Amino acid sequence: MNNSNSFLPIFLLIIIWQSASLLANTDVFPSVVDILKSFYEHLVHKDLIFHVAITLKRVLIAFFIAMFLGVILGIMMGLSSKINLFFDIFLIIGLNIPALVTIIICYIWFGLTDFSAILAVIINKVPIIIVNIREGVKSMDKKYLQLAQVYSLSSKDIIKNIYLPQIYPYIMATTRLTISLVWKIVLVVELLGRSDGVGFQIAMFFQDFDITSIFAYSFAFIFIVILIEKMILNPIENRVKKWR
Amino acid sequence: MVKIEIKEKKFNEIKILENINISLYDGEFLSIIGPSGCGKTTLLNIVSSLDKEFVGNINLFSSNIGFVFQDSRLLPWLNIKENLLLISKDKNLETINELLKIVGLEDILETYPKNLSGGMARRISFVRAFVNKPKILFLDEPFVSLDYPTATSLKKDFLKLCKKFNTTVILVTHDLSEAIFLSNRILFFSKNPATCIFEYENKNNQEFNLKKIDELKNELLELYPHILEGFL
Repeated sequence: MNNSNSFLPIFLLIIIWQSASLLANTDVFPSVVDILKSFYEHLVHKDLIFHVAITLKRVLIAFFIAMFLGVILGIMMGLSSKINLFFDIFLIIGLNIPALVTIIICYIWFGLTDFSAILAVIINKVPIIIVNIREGVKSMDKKYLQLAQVYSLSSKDIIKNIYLPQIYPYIMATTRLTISLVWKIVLVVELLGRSDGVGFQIAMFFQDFDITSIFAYSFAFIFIVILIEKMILNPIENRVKKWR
Repeated sequence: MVKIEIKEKKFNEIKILENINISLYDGEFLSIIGPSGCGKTTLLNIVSSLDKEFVGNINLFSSNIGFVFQDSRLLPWLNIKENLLLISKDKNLETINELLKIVGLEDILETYPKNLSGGMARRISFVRAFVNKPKILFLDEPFVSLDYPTATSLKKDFLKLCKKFNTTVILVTHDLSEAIFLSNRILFFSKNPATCIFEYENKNNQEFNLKKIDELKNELLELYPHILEGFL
């Protein structure tokens, strides 16, 4: 789908939304125009940029640390059955423990701080990254390792030219998944124990029943996600997969 | 010089190889022929240190080896230049270009493997095997799935490379004509477990003369029908 085509569904959604909101004619279903007005108001006259920036900072820190740990552990668990066996039980617990429990425990143990918030997100998201990367490593074609062995390639060459290109699709898919999951969980963490950020603001708007502002913040949010996808993820993907 | 002594190789308690003793002189071209699934690839894997679980002793007197697999095994995410430089010890592009010229492939350094024909990819895998001027080369049925003219021309280019570097070669194949064309000596292997049952000093002298190759092949089949029956 080219760029002009990918805007078509959004355009259709806007038309449907606007028509439905006009038909519903209620404060809890604001029109697109009202949402854009509210967005402008928050952007120019209030502190949307400040709260979005705070949230974005938490998302990025949590994302990079979670990906770093998850990819390393995923590769190790995929390569070694002993390491896999050792960490597997922790992985099962990590995958199934409710996010709410982790968040509250982190807040109780380490206080209502950014450290606790980010730690809770990392604990929640590392297991899913490990699972994805581990599967990628397990699905690697072993015949290329024979090649590396016969020609005595260095460990650096094996990692860079044999492992990484094969698990690269899994890393990209996991990156997308993790960004979307981290965004969501950071908002919950902010709602439960921070006094700034998008999650905190949405909690405030909820108390005031200000649904238009909730949509305005969501709009800012979606805009950033699309920006990350188009400006960062897509170019990286296109550059690396030219051999396919 | 290469000395191979395999007393026994088991897989899941089943004996695959037994009592194999082979010595090769420098620059010798040895072919191993045997029925499908007899353990020829296992033998190559052991000799090239890909498989270390066996009873015996392998002495190659050099660590500079090359291997041509049944498939071209080029890394699809690297272009031809990157594929060859990855293996090259001195990272010398001149050597690579010289080898590519010998096999008749130039101006393809920036090409990705997906854009090569099967024959071209196989040629590149031979070039890769010679990039470090190997002392010993192992070939695991590298000419299968190639059409006759492509395989023949590749075999001729391959012999040129072998002579240029005085490389000792062990070729595993099931094609007797191919073995007669290329090798100085042919070993015939039995199955379950694989062991050498017959050794043939080849009189062909690596010439591509179809008539002569056919004559030698027929002579072999007539002289030793009881040995060759069943797996040729």
